[in-house]
Amino acid sequence: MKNAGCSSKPRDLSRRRFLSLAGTAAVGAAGTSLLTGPGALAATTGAGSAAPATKKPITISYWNHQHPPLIDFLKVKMEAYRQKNPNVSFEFQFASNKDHLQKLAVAMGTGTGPDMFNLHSAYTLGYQSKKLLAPVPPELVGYKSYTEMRAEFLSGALDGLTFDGQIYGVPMQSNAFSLFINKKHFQEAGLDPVKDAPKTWDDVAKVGKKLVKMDGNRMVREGFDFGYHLPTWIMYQVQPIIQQHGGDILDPAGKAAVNSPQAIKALQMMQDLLYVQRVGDPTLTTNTPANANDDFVQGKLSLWLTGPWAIETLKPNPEVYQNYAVVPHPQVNPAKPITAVYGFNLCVNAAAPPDKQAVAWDFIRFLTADPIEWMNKLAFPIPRKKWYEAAGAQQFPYLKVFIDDIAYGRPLVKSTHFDEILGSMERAVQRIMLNKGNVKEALDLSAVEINKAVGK
Amino acid sequence: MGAAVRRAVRDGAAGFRLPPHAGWGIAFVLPAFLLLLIFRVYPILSAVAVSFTDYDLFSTPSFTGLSNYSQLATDPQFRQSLLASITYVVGVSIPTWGIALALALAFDERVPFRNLLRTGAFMPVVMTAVPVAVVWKFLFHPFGLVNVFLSRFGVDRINWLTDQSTAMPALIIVGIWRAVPYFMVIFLAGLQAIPRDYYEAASLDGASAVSKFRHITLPLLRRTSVLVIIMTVIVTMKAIMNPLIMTGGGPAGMTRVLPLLIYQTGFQYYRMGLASAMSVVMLLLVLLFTVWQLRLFREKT
Repeated sequence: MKNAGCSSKPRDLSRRRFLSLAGTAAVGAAGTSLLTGPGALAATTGAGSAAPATKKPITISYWNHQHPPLIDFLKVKMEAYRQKNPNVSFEFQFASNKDHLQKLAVAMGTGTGPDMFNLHSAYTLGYQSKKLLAPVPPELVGYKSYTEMRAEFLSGALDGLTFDGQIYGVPMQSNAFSLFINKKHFQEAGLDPVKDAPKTWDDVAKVGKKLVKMDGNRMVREGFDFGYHLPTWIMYQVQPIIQQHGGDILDPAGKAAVNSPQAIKALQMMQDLLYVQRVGDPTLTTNTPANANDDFVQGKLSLWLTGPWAIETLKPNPEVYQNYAVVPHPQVNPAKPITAVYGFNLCVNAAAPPDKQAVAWDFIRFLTADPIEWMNKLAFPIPRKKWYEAAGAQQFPYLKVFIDDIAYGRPLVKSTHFDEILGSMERAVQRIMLNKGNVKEALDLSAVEINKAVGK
Repeated sequence: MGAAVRRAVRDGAAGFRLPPHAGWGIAFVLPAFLLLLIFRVYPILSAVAVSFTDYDLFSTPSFTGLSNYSQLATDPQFRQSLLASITYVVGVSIPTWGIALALALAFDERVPFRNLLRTGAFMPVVMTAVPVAVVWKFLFHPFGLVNVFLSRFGVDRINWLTDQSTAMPALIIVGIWRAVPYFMVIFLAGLQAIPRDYYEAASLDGASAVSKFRHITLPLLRRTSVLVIIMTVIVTMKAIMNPLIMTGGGPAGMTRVLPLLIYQTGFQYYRMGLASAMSVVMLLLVLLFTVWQLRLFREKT
């Protein structure tokens, strides 16, 4: 996808522009493939009437990544579906994002995968290239045809899920990161949460230093810090910062570009924020894959990059929930904003029996039927026009900020070896940020690893 | 040759007689032997075969000769993992030998509540691996109990699992904690097999405790010691649970021991050929060490 950040008036985003760009959230690894899933025939032919018609007892295994509000929501939805379809039961399992992906990879590789699962957008290309995903039968998810389905979603939203003319999943969430700020901390530091909200990384350094709270020599509250608890989270942060500096993860030929001068400059800036500007101390974090926003929720951090879905996770701490604000993702050059965009899609296992595939698709239709509900209960933007156009959506807090940041987003690096690239970037960031390692050396090593992974 | 050989073969065949009830013996052994063949030998041979292929678990393996092995020779991740494994094996094994022997010696004496203490000391072995790893992860958290305890002695907060210099020592501590009781029991069995008469005779001759340990216990524990040495190396070389759960191999791959890299390469990156080649190298390393230890033992005896 072409980056939207080249606009001369980046913040003046028209509805049309959003509609054409926001869909990339669920896109992720866009690409083409001549491969067609082995379940294609079953799903598009015999499966068509299976879901509504079949009354024999059927159990659907469903795996999802853990996000407490989402898990509660899904359980309610499963129960509601079960009441409408008493013959259907669910074997529901969830794990932290990292564990979910790891478990799924092993299970799919050994033929023991669940009937349906949610899949991070960046993994779609890899899974599809191995024929693990069943194509969506449009009639089972509520559309007469793929054309009608595409018309329902925002432009580009289904691109990363489309291979050889067939669609292989239904988007459930699209995100970019924006900057959450704790207004109370700003006031305590004598800062104005509106006027002094950071727009650039230089601002983050300047404001972050003032927000830091010390107890003698020890930092007890961070002004700003990055998240290190998940490899994907690391990529959400590192990729846009490298791109803002003019670099990228892979060059156009698909070779590692992580040790380019621009990328080195980007990671050096990240390291300097912590070790020169002293805006944070990564040793203070208590974030975990299951509680990704914990530091901010606990009030131990004043500026935090996260997605719109994080709003729900702030509620356990009313003091923070009542004092948060959201501003756009910090930039190197606010005139050319760049963020990373990612999403999660609901997919069906191509190896699942046709009757289970049919019921799984029917459940996905039921689950995603009301995008407004997803926004209101989970703060999950689903890239569907119905959601964006609804009156309720417009009242969602900081909607424009979120939409802007989604619109300026670039999908995560597209590669069938995404997981290996991710692992390499995680190690590089750990060397640089957690252990204050030499930036160039860490990125040179990462480039060697990535080139080995992609076969360059 | 003809007649002589035929005669020899005939005589040999005639001389070879199955012992009485041998059929029953074979029948009893056969199921275990078959299980061993199916679940041990066959997977090992399969791994060796797959190591010469490019195989992603989904498509048909294609023969690539030694390319996986040559790739390993230049792979920085493999080198780092091998080093991490060696560090872990050495770090866990050597202290384990000493501590396990010391505890076995202590529990071999008539101490009060001996059975209760023995049972208590054995607990880490019977605990399930995953919850134990999760609990240790919490204990080593920057705000966990280990740091709380150390802070009483003025030690500043240590980021056990995220600092490159402390992550491996943290895993080693857990590894020792888990390995010691098991090998203590083996040492204890070895100690109890030493006839008490030797010690009584030595006492009559006026031998000191140190002298008895050096000249009676250690030499007679040699067989047990070799078993313990070989087993600790094999067990620690295969360790995956604690690194997987506690550090995920991080930070920066510092605790990504070989089994973890093999698991990730095979099941996460779908490079089964490369993962199998790593397994074969690991198997050969353990085999070499075992043969070396046994030979060393034989030379000494």
